[in-house]
Amino acid sequence: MTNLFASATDSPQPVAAPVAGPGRAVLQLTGIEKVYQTRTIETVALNHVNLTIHQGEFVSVMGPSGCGKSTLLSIMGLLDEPTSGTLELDGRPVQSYSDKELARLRNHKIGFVFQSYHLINDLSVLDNVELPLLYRAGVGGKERRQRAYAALEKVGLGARTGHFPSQLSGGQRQRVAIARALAGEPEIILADEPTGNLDSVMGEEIMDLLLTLNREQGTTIVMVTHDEQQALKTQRLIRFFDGSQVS
Amino acid sequence: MFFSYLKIAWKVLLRRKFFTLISLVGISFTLMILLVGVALYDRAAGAYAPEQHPDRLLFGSYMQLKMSGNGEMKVRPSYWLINQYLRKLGPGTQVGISGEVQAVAAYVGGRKLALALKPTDGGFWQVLQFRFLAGRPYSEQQARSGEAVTVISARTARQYFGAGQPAVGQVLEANEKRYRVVGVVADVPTMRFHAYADLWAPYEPSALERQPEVPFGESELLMLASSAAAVPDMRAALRRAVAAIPMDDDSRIAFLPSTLGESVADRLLARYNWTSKPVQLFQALSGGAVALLLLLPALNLISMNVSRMRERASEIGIRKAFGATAGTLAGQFVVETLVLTLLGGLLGLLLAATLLRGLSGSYLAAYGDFQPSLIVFGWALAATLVFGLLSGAYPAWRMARLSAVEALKHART
Ligand SMILES: Nc1ncnc2c1ncn2[C@@H]1O[C@H](COP(=O)(O)OP(=O)(O)OP(=O)(O)O)[C@@H](O)[C@H]1O
Ligand SMILES: [Mg+2]
Repeated sequence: MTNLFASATDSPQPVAAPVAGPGRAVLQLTGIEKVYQTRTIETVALNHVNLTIHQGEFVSVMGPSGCGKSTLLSIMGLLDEPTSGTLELDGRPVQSYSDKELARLRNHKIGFVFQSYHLINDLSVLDNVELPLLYRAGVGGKERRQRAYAALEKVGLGARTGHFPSQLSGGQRQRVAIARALAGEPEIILADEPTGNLDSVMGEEIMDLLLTLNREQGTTIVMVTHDEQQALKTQRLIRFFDGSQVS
Repeated sequence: MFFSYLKIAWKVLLRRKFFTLISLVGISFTLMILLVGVALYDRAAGAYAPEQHPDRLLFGSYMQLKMSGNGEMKVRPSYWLINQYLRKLGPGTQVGISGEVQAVAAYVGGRKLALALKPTDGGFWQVLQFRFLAGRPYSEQQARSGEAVTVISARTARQYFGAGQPAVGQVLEANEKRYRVVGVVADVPTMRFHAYADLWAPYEPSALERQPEVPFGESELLMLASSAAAVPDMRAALRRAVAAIPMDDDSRIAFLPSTLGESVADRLLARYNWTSKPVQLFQALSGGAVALLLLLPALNLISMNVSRMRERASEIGIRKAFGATAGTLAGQFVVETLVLTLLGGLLGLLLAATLLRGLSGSYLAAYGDFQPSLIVFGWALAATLVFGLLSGAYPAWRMARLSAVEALKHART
């Protein structure tokens, strides 16, 4: 099966949130292609994607399962390399960065919320949320704890800091994962179905949290979602299907 | 950063209690067994009184004897043979003779005291350096004339005469024979079988041991060279002296002098007739045992680490996604292994010290005062660290170099 990630549409989407006006391009994808080669088949997960994410934008991505949304986020989050094409971060191609610089960029610029939480089971909730700050020079233990605690308060888990992931429900785990992405106060948040496992009330709250973050802090957000309602609240919707682009 | 590594390591180890426990048991038991084994061997063959200079000592405990009409036999020399032919081995060489330890009985206030008596000549006290707490050894003259004198151990003195009571000059009666005590020496461990006894008295050879022309008996030849460098000369002198013994046409004697270490190996293995080369066998066996012992915790660590890799893979992916570099991650795993190994090492040292303490007071090793060797501890710990690092950190380092997405694919939480 070949999945075509359609080129980004430039036509404006129905927008509910206030438009801050397009800033400079933070992420620029040009001709991005990702091919997974297994023994039996070759899967084209991304097919020549051209896309620009501007500073301060809140973009949502929609599309059927298996069409490459998570793959796209991994590449934008510097977790994976495209098979071909170029990704520019703040106008500089990421291929030109060393491994160390990439780690630094992931730490300072990007906050990831994974579709399947990806918490470290051996660490407490608080320790999990401290993670981005742990790898940041000049942040002491006390400040780390304070900031992690504040992030957990924001997602309504201030009372569960000592729990371990296995002691939490799916929704709570997702909120921990969101707190972890917030804790480092990154410029860009890449969220892969952040509300997929939450009930509609909690989903609303998380959505409001992201909207506030985007509005007040100017955090750039790219969010994969299956929820039309949520997508309509964002400034731009990128939609794609198998092999065809839909605006 | 090191401190936060330590903290992470500590947390991970606490969370994985089962893994931590198994690893600790593996490492600490290995170290304990090594330390106890070496301490026992050291106490048997190391440089302690009365064998303070093992590098200058040789023991003629056995000889290869071929007599007409018979095959070869490994036998002990007789008193007659040593006394007649092997007393003079050149200037600078001290020679002594001793017999097998005999069980004798003494009575203190109606209570029986079972004692081990070792018959010796006067030269025995020159070859071995006993630590005299009071008095002195009997002379060659006294030994030859069969005077009823004895040197006793501190414990015997305490048991027979009472703690703090003078023993030298007093009379000790054993097997209905009255001995005058001429000296008191520090206790000798049973493992020091060339020297060990509760009391020592002049050698009164049995009729068989004295009988001319009978080369085999139950005696032992002890030799001390003036220096370690003079030992080969001493061996040569012994060979010449043995060659000069008049023999029948088909008969032949060859002495098998052994060092202290060789005689310990011999005692451990040769009496079971497993081998004609007990020393080599002992070295091979102990070398193999050490390798196996060290391999155990290493294999243990490797298998545990491999089985954990799946889970660790997702951890690595997550940490990378939030800014950990490959170097940082490798550092974290190194510290984790270090902490585990050091903990296991300390535990092993503690166990060994406790066990040796218990052994020191036991009958098995009477008078043994065991200490774990810090040098062995250091080497064993270093070996475990190397294994630990190879088994734990090397795979982790490889994992750390995976791309974050690759690592995350390994586990879906
Ligand atoms: N490591 C991999 N090896 C082989 N194929 C892969 C790999 N990762 C993803 N794929 C394939 O790439 C395609 C895109 O996967 P991706 O996870 O990006 O989809 P998605 O849009 O996020 O789907 P969903 O909405 O279900 O999360 C799928 O067909 C998937 O099977
Ligand atoms: Mg997905």
